[in-house]
Amino acid sequence: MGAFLVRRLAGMLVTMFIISTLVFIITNVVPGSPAALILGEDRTPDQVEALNRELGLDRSVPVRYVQWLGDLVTGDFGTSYYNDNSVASVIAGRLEPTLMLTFTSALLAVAIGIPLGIIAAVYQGTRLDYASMVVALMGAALPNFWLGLLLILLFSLYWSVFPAAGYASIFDDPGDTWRYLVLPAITLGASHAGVIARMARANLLEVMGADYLRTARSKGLRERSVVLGHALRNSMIPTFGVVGVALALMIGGSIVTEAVFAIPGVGRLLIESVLRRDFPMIQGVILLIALLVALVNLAVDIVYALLDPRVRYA
Amino acid sequence: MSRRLHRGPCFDPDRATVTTLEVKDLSVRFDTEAGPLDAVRGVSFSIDKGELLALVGESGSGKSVTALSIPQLLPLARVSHPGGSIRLGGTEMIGAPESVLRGVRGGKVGIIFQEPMTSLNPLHTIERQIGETLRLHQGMSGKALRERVVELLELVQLDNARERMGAYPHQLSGGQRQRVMIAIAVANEPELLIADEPTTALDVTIQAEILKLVRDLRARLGMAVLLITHDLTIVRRIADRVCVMNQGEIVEAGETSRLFADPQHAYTKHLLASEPKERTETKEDWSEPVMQAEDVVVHFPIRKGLLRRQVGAVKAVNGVSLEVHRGQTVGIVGESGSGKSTLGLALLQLRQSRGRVVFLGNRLNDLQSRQLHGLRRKMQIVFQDPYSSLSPRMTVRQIISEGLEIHNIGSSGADRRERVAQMLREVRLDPAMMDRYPHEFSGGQRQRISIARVMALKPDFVVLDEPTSALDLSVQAQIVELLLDLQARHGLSYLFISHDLRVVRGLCDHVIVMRKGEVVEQGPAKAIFERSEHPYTQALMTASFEIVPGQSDGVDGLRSGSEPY
Repeated sequence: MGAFLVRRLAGMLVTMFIISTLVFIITNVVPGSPAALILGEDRTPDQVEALNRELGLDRSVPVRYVQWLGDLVTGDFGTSYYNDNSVASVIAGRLEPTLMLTFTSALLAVAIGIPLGIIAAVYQGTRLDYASMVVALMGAALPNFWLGLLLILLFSLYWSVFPAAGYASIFDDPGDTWRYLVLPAITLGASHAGVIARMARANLLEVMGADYLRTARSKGLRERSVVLGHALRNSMIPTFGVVGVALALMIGGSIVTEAVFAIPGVGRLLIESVLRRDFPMIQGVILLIALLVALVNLAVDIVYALLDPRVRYA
Repeated sequence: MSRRLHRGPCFDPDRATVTTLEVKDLSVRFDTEAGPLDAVRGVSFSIDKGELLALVGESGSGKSVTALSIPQLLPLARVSHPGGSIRLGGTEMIGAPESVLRGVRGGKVGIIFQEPMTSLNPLHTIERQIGETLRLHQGMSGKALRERVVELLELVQLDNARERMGAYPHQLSGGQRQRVMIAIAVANEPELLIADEPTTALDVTIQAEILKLVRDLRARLGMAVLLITHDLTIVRRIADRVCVMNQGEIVEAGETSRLFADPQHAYTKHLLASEPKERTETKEDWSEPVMQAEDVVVHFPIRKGLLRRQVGAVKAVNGVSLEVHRGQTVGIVGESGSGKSTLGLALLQLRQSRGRVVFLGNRLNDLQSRQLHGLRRKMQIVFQDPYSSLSPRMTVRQIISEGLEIHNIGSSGADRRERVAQMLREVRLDPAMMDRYPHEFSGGQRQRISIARVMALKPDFVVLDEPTSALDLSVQAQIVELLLDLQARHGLSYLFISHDLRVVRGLCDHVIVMRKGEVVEQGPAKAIFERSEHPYTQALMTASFEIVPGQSDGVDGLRSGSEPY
């Protein structure tokens, strides 16, 4: 297990190195001079050149690449072109709403998806199964920006149950945070709940035909114990892989949801930074998202090992 | 605790017998999409306490369905019993409430299934899996439960029982898993033990040990045993009485010795006639080598640790030399893991190997893949599993003509079609079926298609990797006959890989016995079968042809009802 973890961590470092290189290449090769954009319409070529020198953009790409990697290793993500703030501190200030949103959505997706899938599988072929799968399909099929707008229309404008936009930090206003999270979390989690439900159902049904369940029945166990005691954990192994993928997708998907609900999170920050050609900030946010996805994958691997002795002892 | 093992009056055949199970006029109907299907029709039999009854038949005969009906383990939604009765110790099973049936399952009836590899929950330790049934039926817990699990593991002769309790199924071999399965089945000292093909998936030597264990436990616990099998050798050695099933009906029943000596029903006769026979005519001198191999070595690296460094190698094939001559069949026998299949793949250059392999005068190791391509036509392989070795998305015609296209045999579509038709006739299939898909054929027919695919290329050398072991006895006999016929007509050379010595005896001129990647013994088939010298070969022979070691007095002694313990 120890060697397993160290190997996975080493793999994660390699992944992060490749991603940081790709991020650097993409942001430094795209056309559009940041200096020209910052200076606006009335710029003179001299001013552009001076600003380029100040930002370090006059040096060659390889030199800048080495500089950037060196800074990353020491934890320096650079300075925003837009307002001279440190990238790390700006992102840190925007992290909480995004993490809260993603976490709540994931919780919602798992809490709805997995029981829905289990019910559908246990009552396979009945009306309960069909109803569950119609709900799951609807969740998976609705585009989340549209679902978000629909929820705002119903629950904020007509019935005024939940706020339509904004966010209250859990550090400042812990009692109110959840009210701001309900609609965005449903918006972001619904499609994944649908996908997870379908996978949970399919995996459980597959396991239900396994020989070791026949063994369990031959011991005289109740069907309930057969399903809950033997089938469920086996079916959860592949299902958990889907949950990991869903979580990674939600981190990316939070960008759109934050835009719809005007949540001041990392996703919004990314959109703002793209519009401002604030390259250090864009790079920082993309690296953060990549890191989060890599961590989710690591967590999934660990959960696999905990669930499955065959992985643990491999 | 030992009281539990030797409880009650030991069964005494001299006293009035006690009927444990009585099945009368049982019918089982499946609701299928095509309408009701009667899988079992009017089956009657009974088993006395301490008696071992074998239910024999080929796949689809309804023997497993009959067995699973006893504790009512068939899926209720799709199964009904139009008639009949199953009485276990006087209690009717058909229509019994779930609560009664749950007490029967695992309590009065223990079951061992065929596939030890998949019949245990991969996520639970064996202690938990055995403990579960004790907890359920006897309410045991804590230290008593633990001790009883150890006792059971010792009863089924699992080595290091106490240390193995925390093991997961994947850490055990097939034979060990089957022992755990048996421990679960007998945990609550059932009145009836159902063993559904308990040894089919195991090596012959392990098979013998498991059967011996079942036989001993029957005596020790005084259980009635219902053995479901297709293997007549097993039946002959271990069963008291036999019921032969065919197409959902019992066609013949009787004392084992009587039934084998004097079968009455045509199907029983047919089944007995299908048992592999000894090859009658054998040639001794061979002079035209087709395939020669010298010192073939295949090692698989073992990687360990952080950097996955190679710390050793599994010596799958370790220095094997052989010669196969024109028209000769060389048999390779050995248990799983002996390297026999790997050797076959290495000879055909389908697996990287070291050593010298010469085929029709060409040194295969030196050839570029382009040069090898031309020779591939002349060396072919038929695989074990006819269900997974044919692409389900291709028609039979596509499967057979693919090789023709690759090797540019035949000029046009019509020509190839004619060749495919001819091949199908040669393997005795109707050419009109060439546009069907593999799933529309039976196992035996699929293996004929596999053979047609290979023969269409007119090869000189064919590796047959367990081509009959997934098939029923009577189908097996037909395939062996077909292979011999094709060999005689086309002068083919075979390398026949098998764990079944009985089939090898019926087919091979020369036999190589392998163990752990190395040749243990080799020689002309007659010599190997009649006076093998190596103890391992002798052990294989005993296991294959006698099934239960030392049976001559042991089993007979039990049958005649001497003191069991």
